[in-house]
Amino acid sequence: MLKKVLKQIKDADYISKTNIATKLNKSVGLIEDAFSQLIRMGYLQVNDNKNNCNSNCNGCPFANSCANQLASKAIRITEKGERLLAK
Amino acid sequence: MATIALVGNPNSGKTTIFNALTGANQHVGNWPGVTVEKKEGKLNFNKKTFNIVDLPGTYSLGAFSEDEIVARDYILKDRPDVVINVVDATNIERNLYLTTQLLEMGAKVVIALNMFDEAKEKKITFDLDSLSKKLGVPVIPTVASKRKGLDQLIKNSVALIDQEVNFAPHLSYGENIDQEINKLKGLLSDKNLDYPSQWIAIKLLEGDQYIYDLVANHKGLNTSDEFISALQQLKTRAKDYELDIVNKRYEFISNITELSVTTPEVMVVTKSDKIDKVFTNKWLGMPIFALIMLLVFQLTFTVGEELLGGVMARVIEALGETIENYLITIKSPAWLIAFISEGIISGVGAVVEFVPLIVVLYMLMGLLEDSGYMARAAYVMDSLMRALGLQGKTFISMIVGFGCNVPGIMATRTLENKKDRLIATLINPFMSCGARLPIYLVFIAAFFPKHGGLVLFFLYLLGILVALLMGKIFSETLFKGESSYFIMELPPYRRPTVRNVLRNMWDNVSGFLKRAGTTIFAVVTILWILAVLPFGVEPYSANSILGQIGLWLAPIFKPAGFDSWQAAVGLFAGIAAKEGVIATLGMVCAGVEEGTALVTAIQSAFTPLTAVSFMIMTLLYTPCAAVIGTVRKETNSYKWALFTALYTFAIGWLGAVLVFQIGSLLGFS
Ligand SMILES: Nc1nc2c(ncn2[C@@H]2O[C@H](COP(=O)(O)OP(=O)(O)OP(=O)(O)O)[C@@H](O)[C@H]2O)c(=O)[nH]1
Ligand SMILES: [Mg+2]
Repeated sequence: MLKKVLKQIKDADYISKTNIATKLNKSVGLIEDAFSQLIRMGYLQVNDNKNNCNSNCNGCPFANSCANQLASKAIRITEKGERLLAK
Repeated sequence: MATIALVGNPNSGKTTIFNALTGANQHVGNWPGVTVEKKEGKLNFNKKTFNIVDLPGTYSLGAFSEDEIVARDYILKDRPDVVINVVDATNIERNLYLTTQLLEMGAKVVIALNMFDEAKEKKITFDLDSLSKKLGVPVIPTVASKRKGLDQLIKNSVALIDQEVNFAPHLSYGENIDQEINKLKGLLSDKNLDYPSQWIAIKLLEGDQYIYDLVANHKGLNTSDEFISALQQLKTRAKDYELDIVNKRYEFISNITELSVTTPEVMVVTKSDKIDKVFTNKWLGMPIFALIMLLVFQLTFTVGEELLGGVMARVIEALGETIENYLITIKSPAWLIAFISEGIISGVGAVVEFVPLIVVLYMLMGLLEDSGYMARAAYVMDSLMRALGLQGKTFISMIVGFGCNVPGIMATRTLENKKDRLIATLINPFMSCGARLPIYLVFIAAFFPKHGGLVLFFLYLLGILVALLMGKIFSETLFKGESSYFIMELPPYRRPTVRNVLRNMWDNVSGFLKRAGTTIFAVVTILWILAVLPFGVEPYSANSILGQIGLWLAPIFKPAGFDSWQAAVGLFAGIAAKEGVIATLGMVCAGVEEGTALVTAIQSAFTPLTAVSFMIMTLLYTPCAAVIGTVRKETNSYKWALFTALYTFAIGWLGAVLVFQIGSLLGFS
């Protein structure tokens, strides 16, 4: 299943966990688990926009706004992940 | 006394079962050394007393969190006589992952298939016999909150206590891995370890650091050459073992649920996905994004102007008068009165006046953000930017830049690639930040009060377009190289919460106010001093130091149509902080003629065309000092900071000049 999820990510334009869940006929909860497993094992890398600004922002009056702005996530298949897909 | 432990995913109903079983006897205790709470209680059943233990909820039993280690150590070291695995029946696939791990441990498991009522309501059906047979453990449906099935559960659990059963699952991990497991198992047996050797073998193959450390420190093992070399070999070969093992667990679960659990055909395409088909459509996505933004700006003006417009202005005016009168009654020196009323009230007031509009704008933006739409917008832009050969994720830093360019540039840190990051940094200042809003708002009030939304929309749009264009140019000239590729995740849409929207709004507005009280206050103070010096000149006139600086700078802007010293000095102040533009204009205009509203002063100093060219200048020209400082810090280079300051100025000037010249040619004025 994990490899199938990885493949779905590879082929998708964007990631929608509900979409992947329906395609693979699994529950969304399970797909979420699969994502965290893949991330934990280093096949996927998340790049979320949260908390990249805590360090130098003290002087910035807009500091608050950057921490909560667009908590969007982007995900990348790592080299390890690509190798697995190629197998 | 026999012990029965409750294990399960968070929120599966463990504590409910625990309370139902133990009644009022429960007490809360701490584990030695760990902060995680476990509860213990007593159950009387069939004239015997049992010890019931409620463990922290976990999704798995790896070594990835304190809770997981606590739970698994308890099961493996304290060896409860029976483990009741509380499974949420409405989410059985996910819950069974933990179950497989319990089985791997060789624990005596009884499954409480809890929330059975909810599962029924959702029309999920179970073939309990087949489920039980395939898992090899008793499966008892329960509704813990109504105490249903608990007797059965306990009866089955107690029955297991004295039974000698081997619950190790008939779970194969594939030939390779099974072989490895057996090999390791052979080396591990009779070493008197705290854990079952089969389980240790699996954990070693999974790369469980905790277990690695355990065996590495075990005297019987770390002296065995055979074992050390086996571990060594494992490390080199065990590349994807972990994945394979996890995968097998999921497969095992699938095989079980496929035949014994049926879920109704739920919405083949969920609502979110349906909406996304439109919102992220190749052709429709961009126009929809534009339309939504236009709507946002239009609403900002309708609500901000018609409902709240002028409120703040009146408040400031009243406040100003009160303070001035008070200062006069206490016979303050004239310079202080002038400083407060003409400097601070006019200058800072000109900025603060626009708070209502900013509140509305950021509230609307917060709605878009919290509903999940902004992620779609970023995705739509992501596609466009990739088509231009830019890193799509750049747009996220650009959206952040709409609040303030400083965090916007910080947000480029998430771009790994140096080239992508530098480009994103260099183009971020073109994103119109919150501090530039008051400038537009004054000019809109003066010249385009009927089309405020549209003007704002086009300014923001122009900022984005210039950023994209410059990004494209940079990526083809300055830096060449590959971009790394991230795929965006689109979270499901949801109803925005009042709390989130208000917080988002407040974060921006409070930042705005804080700046008004600090940076802008300081800038205004300095400018005021420059505007009244040297002694003897008429304050706020062309003869003051400020006026002289303005006169000296003004010719630069002649081709753009606005060559008054006030405009020049305003732009100059804007490099300290963008609101400085409007604060300066507020101060120098209000000073000219007592009581002249800033808007009227601007109407006499600008024409509609020069107003447009001035707004474009303020949109594009040199970002404020804080941003330039951030560029320096983030690129670690004075060169890039200077470059940013200069090239943006050139672009801004060019844009303003083009608009003015072409506009004049076309007969606008
Ligand atoms: N409908 C229904 N609700 C239940 C059932 N069992 C428990 N609940 C409810 O589910 C919620 C979670 O129950 P808890 O007992 O707190 O779950 P838990 O497993 O202890 O959760 P953690 O301590 O977070 O791991 C509570 O609101 C219970 O009232 C059930 O069988 N049916
Ligand atoms: Mg609990």
